[in-house]
Amino acid sequence: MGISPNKAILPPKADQIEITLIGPGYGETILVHLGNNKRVVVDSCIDSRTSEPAALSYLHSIGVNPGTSVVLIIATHWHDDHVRGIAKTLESCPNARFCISSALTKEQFLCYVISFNEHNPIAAGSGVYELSQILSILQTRSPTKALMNRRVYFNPASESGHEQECSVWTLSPSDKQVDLFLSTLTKYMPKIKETKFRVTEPEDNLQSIVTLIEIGNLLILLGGDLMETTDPNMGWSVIVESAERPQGKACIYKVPHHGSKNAHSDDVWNKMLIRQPYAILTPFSRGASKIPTPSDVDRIGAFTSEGYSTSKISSISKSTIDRPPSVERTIRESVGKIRRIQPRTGMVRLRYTVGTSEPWSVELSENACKLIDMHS
Amino acid sequence: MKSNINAVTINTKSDFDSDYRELSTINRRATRRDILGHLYLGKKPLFETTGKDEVSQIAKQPISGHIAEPDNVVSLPQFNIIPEQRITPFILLQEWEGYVQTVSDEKFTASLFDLTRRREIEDEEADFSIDDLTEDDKKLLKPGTVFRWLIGYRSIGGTKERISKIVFRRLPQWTESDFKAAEAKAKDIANRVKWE
Repeated sequence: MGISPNKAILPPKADQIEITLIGPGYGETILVHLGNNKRVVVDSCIDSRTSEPAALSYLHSIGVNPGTSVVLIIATHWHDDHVRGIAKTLESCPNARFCISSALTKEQFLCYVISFNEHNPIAAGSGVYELSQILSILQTRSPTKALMNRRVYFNPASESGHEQECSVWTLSPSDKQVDLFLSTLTKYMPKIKETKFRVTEPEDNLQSIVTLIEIGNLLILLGGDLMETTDPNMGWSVIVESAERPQGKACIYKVPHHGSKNAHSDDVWNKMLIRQPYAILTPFSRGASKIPTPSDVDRIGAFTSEGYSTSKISSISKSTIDRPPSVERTIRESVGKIRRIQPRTGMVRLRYTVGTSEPWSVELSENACKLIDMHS
Repeated sequence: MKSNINAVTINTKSDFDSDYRELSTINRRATRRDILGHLYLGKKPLFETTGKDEVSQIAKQPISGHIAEPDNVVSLPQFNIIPEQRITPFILLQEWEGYVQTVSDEKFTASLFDLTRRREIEDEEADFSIDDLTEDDKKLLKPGTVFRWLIGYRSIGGTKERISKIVFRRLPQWTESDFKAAEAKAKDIANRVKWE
């Protein structure tokens, strides 16, 4: 099912909530229309068709000016697949507040970013390049640190377009997560006399921001890439057990870390979400890692039948680049095949008119699919 | 089927360029050796194999039908003479810049940034056999190592070869002053950015 061209170009009405998840197989962007042309952008990836930041491409495609519409940009964490193009997005949205994990505001991390960015040996960009660009922009703006249970945006009912108050909360990172992140960072810092190399990312997502959007009684939970741990003071456990967060149950869940098992928590599904919520995710395909796996899909499917992905796993790896036959032959002979990690961008879009009994409408772009179909 | 992957270590862009000059030089030397048809076993060759001197040494030999061979020279079969103009430079068809993501026992996986199509981000990846690397290059192998992958043609004496070549870059080392400069800049930024 694709979004019909006429529908795709229509922006939501002032009283409509819209959640748009965009993902090319490596990276993701979420746009949430809070009402009355006010939007939150969470993370950033590149649109494979326009090579522009996906959030900007999408807003332009529906005739919305990002400069006047985006009120908040959140970078959940600094991995390449979540911050590609975020500096350009921030630059294009002068009215937007920028929110980043408190762990990433520490001098220790800034030193890490600067060290790698100033000695980047490769033409391709990286997460530290994006953050370095952002640090330049932020010197003239006032960014916000994401902390556990912090309200980072509020819009009164009178300005919301649907007469409901609207708040955006960050539910993580916890203090312990920040401390642990900074202590593990030293492991990734280069050493004196070590040959220079491109920045490598810590594998753990210990400092990822989880975002909760509250519109009246309606809650939307965006899981970032936060992983679960056995430590009750970190991961999802500390969020689930927190008495200070809004206690309602969310009807929409951006499944964390592309549906992987290590980001799963039964308690989140049982205590923070309604039954049969809409669960949306972007797949991840890089190296040997392809998530969600079929067992991940089954696990999520046990909690909801309303799961959607921005792309099928099977369609991600096929390279569609035309090269001369002699080059193709040499590729086959030397490495077998080249995998594409930026296939065509897919999109899942949900819309709901506040105050009506109508269900959410779900629209899928050409590449998107129901979760149960993503390995077919 | 595997083709030959030539793994070469270079230091800088100029070294990278000189790599091709070196390849060309080797070919020219080989051609001169072919002209003489000899492989020298002694430490000091009878003939200098550089430029005009080589020709002049030959010209100085007594004209008696052939050049007298010393004991430390073994005769090799005569090869056809390949004029230098028949050796073509490396013709580049495709070039990527890559960095190593992961390393396992037999292969390494790398992200590739297509320099030929001038992509803005790396959007491809491939698995490379570690066996194809030299021992020196294997020592460089770790996540973050940067390399170039080139595919092209070269032609020697009318024989056209299709080549896949990985060139590992040996970058400078991190220095104490690098870190001091980064720390100073980090402090400066931390002071300038007013976090809420």
